[in-house]
Amino acid sequence: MVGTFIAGYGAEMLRRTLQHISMVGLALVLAASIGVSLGVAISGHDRVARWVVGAASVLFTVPSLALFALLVVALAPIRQGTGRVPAVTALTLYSILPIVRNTWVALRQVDPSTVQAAQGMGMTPSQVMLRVKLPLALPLIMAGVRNAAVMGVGMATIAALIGGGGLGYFIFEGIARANRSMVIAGTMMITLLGLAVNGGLLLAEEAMTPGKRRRGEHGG
Amino acid sequence: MNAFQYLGRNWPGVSAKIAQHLGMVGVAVAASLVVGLALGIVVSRPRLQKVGRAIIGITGAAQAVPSVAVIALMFVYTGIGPRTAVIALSIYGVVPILFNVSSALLLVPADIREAARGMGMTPLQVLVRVELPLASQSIMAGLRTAVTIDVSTATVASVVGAGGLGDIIFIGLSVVRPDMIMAGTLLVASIAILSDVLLAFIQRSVVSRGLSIPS
Amino acid sequence: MIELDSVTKRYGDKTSVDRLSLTIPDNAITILLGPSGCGKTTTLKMINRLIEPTDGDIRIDGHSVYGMDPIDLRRSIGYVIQEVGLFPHFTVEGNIGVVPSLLDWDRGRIRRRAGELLELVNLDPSVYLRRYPRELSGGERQRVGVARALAADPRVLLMDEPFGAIDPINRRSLQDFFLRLQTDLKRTVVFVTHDIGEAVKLGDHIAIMRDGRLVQMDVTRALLEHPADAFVEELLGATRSTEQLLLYRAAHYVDTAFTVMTTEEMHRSGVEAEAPLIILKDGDDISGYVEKGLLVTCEDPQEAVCRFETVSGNATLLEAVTTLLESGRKRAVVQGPDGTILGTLSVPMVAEIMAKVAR
Repeated sequence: MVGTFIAGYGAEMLRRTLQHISMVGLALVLAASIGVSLGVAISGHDRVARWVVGAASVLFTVPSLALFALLVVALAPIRQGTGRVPAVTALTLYSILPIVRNTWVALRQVDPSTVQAAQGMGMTPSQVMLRVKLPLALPLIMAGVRNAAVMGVGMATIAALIGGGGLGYFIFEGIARANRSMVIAGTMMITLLGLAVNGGLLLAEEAMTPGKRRRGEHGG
Repeated sequence: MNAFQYLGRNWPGVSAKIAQHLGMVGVAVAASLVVGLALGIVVSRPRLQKVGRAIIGITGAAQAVPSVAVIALMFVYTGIGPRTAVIALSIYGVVPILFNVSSALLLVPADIREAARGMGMTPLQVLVRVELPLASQSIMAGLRTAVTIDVSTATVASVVGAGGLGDIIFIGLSVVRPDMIMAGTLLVASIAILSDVLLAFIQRSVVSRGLSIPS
Repeated sequence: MIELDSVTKRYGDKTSVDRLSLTIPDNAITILLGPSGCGKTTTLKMINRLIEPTDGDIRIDGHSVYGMDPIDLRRSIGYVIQEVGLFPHFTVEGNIGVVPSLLDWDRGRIRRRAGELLELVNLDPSVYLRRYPRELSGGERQRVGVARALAADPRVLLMDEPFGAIDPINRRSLQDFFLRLQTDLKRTVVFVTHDIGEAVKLGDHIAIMRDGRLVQMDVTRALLEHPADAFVEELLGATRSTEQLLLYRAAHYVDTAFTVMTTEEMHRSGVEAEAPLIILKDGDDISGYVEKGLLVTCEDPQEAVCRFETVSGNATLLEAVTTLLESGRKRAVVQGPDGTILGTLSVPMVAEIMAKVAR
């Protein structure tokens, strides 16, 4: 049953999957650029940082459908009320929190003596950030990116409700039409995508953590 | 008409939706908490450590499964109605709670557990007086995640006929009524934020201050 | 008295403790000493039944611990492990109150007891009762650990490398503190360590273990002077240098050949040439001592009386020697905590002890 659905809708599924991925991917790139820059900017200003991270956490608890709907209303005056713009905007807003928080935490955790060593060798503040702090913070930042990506895959499903396309189409359309095969096919794809994104980025994360990688090579 | 006017004129209907929403989330969270806590305690016993580690791996990965997928899947089995939503939310809510409970309990140092036994605590006393308090921070964090996800997912559950505040947003979207969209959004966002604030408050009173001091 | 009777613990093919028989005397510190993996910690944990033996029996005051409920048994025994054993989510008061609360004491009584014990371990209750373990230094945590073990006033204390995680300087002061505490409390202490210095310093008795077996058990001094075999000799080798003077307790090395009399008795009696050393004690005051046979050669008995230094029995030989050298006196009278005279020490005696031990 599901098999026949997939056979019949193969091309459609591929198109929706790519749509889904591009939506999440675009939001992730935007969120990573904003989140990391923001994290760097607020590092060293603890009080500001707490406010920023706190505000982002509050935004994070707002249900995704609510934020999508809110953006539909907010962007309507500029004729972008439905479609990809509100979807990508909402996904970006959500994805910023895990990235900015992890960036900030990771930069705080860098050993002060390492920073002093770098300063002692004559690095400028921006060199210390780019050559020492950020590389050391990278694994944790990547963990934030992974969280954002996994969450984004789930939330992008909801984008179908506001005309954003993606794999949510099969689920919501399937429920509306009471077409079980369509729902199952959509659910399968979205689950696989979620697990694949998580697994793939986890591997990337481990590859960027020097200690972990070495342990792995020696067979644990 | 703005959102507040909408709320004022339709308050009886809206309050019923709020009640539905809270009911759905409340029942689901309670079920998830009971199941997650019980399972987490069982799989973190020293004899079942291998099972416990496997559970941590599985629940860790399962958090990558979108919540909508679980609702959709339940829809396939139980069809339209609030029952589908409550079951789906309960199942989905177990994942972060079970993950946090089992990993926090497995992280309780063996020395501390042994010190407790060595002082003459029964296994139940070790669990209640030592292990659970040490894991409380993480358990509460899991609970907060589950509540946030459930409040959010319950909104989407409107599509399987579960009722709740999602109805207001969906109707608003389909008939293009910004006041309804705003009203629904405002309410559901307030519930999410207030419940998280409430839980943060509970967390502060439940978790010992001694644990938040950096060692 | 704790008796271990042919106790054996096997894990699969591996024998961790092998037919160990040992009698641990009351009111004294008995050290279980040996290299890691010798079974000393396993032995300790079998006493409070954290580990059940494969074979054999353990009796406390004649009662087999296997006839008791393990929970009740553990509540009646103090247990101290490395600093991690404090519960971080309880305050100091909560930690000290663990066993009393298990025994259903009321809150007021627990609080009073916690305050008493903090004073006993030299921590100000008004400062420390409400603190959490992570707000304490390593040494403070360890004191709280000892206080916690003493909470329900147990006769027996089991201590598993309690000072192991502490830096050497603080460890030494904790050891001194614990010795002073024990002189007042006189508990039956079983103390596991792999640190020979700690064993010699704290132990009234030392039991040396190897591969799960008892190699030698004796009072500390006898063990140092008469190691049973090459293994013990090698193990103790680390203590055989003059710097280890600071480990040996004066009480263990005193010259016990002396008689006590009042000044008046001395003046009255005609003392024979072979009479031992005389310590003059009038009431509670020690006024001096007279060297062996010296009295016979003196016209006026008062001329024979020598001045002296007093040294506590818990002082180390190094402290005793330093005191003597600085004061220029020939002898020190070593006193127990209650003022009893344990004996005397002189610089040549200490030199002789060192020569013997360093042989």
